[in-house]
Amino acid sequence: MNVLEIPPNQPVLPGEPHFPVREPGHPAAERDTHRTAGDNRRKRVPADVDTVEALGTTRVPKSNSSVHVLPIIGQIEGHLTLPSQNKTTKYEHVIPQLVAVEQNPEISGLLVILNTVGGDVEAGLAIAEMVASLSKPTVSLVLGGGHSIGVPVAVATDFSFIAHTATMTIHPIRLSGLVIGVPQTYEYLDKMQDRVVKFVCGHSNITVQRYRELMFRQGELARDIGTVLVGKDAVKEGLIDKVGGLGEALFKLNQLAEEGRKAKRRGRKKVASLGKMSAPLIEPDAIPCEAPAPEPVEIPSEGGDEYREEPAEPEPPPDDPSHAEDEEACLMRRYEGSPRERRRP
Amino acid sequence: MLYTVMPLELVLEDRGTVQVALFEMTYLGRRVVSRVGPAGQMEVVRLLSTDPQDYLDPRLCPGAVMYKE
Repeated sequence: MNVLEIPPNQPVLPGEPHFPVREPGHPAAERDTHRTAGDNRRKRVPADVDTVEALGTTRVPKSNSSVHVLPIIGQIEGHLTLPSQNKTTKYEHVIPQLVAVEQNPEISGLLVILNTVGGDVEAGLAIAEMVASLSKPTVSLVLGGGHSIGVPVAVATDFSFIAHTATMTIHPIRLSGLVIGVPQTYEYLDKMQDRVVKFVCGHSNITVQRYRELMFRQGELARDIGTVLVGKDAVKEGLIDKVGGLGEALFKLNQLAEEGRKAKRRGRKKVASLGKMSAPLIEPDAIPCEAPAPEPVEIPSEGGDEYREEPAEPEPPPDDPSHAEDEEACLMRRYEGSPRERRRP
Repeated sequence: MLYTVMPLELVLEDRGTVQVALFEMTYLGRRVVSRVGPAGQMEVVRLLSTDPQDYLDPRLCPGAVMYKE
């Protein structure tokens, strides 16, 4: 049997597997001598082969992977620690990992694998924002389910895949606990929902109007309003880029990484095609949110009468559909400069 | 605020089942979630790593007994 022996004077390289050499008086040293009695040649054998033969373990040789994987499973856990029957992905684990992926020069890309039922709105959005602002290529793969707050995480990457059988549920946010029955409650809920809608529509090809339509659709879900999108339906709606699996996702990630490397070689720091730049700043005040005021109407004067009636105040009624559409358009214009939109003109 | 397809009563209800205490620690240079196994030894429950190669290490597989480093 071969036993790995390292000459005492030879320095061990950092990261190289080695066994410590025992002192001559140690009882185990005698056993070692006995074991190597038939083979006095001081030779070095490959560490992994030796480990399998001498220790019976199947330690797989370590090879560095340039692509790292971030699994988002179960509930996305944020500010609230959920009861222990829930399987959770905690943001305190994920966010530092994303920072490490961004910083490590040996990592060329990130694959986000989702099988989540949703979870904390803020934790989900935080992860989604982190993934979206990563300067390295990112690809997501929805397996099983990417529901509720899983949708922004799935669309945050540069390219997204969904398995044929995977589903994504789009439904309104619900309130739990004490609900005060005042209009402000609904406004607050709508504001929370808007954060999710804006992010999803800004990072995918679905429109705000269509996303809201899917969210409030009736008759699809047994206990709720909303829509279930299965595999290719999510692609058809423009939420996800392509139906595919692990092979396609890794191929795309390597392709994006290669494009990035080529661009770097050409001397360009940023790759516009990968959507790496942060969205350009658009002053909110520069975008007119109100419907344009109508032109003053000329009222023909009758018989030399100098009196002219002032045109009525241009105040569109609150339930005017055209006004609502203006707000939608305005919302989308703010997201025109989002990475996803620029990437695919 | 939770945004999930699972009914909130299922998510938030504590079922009162006997729960095994989980510990988060660094083992072999990796972050793992572990628990005390039936024979009193520490076992790996979950590996928290983004490096896919770490998941091929049998010492870090879920259920693997943890030895003192």
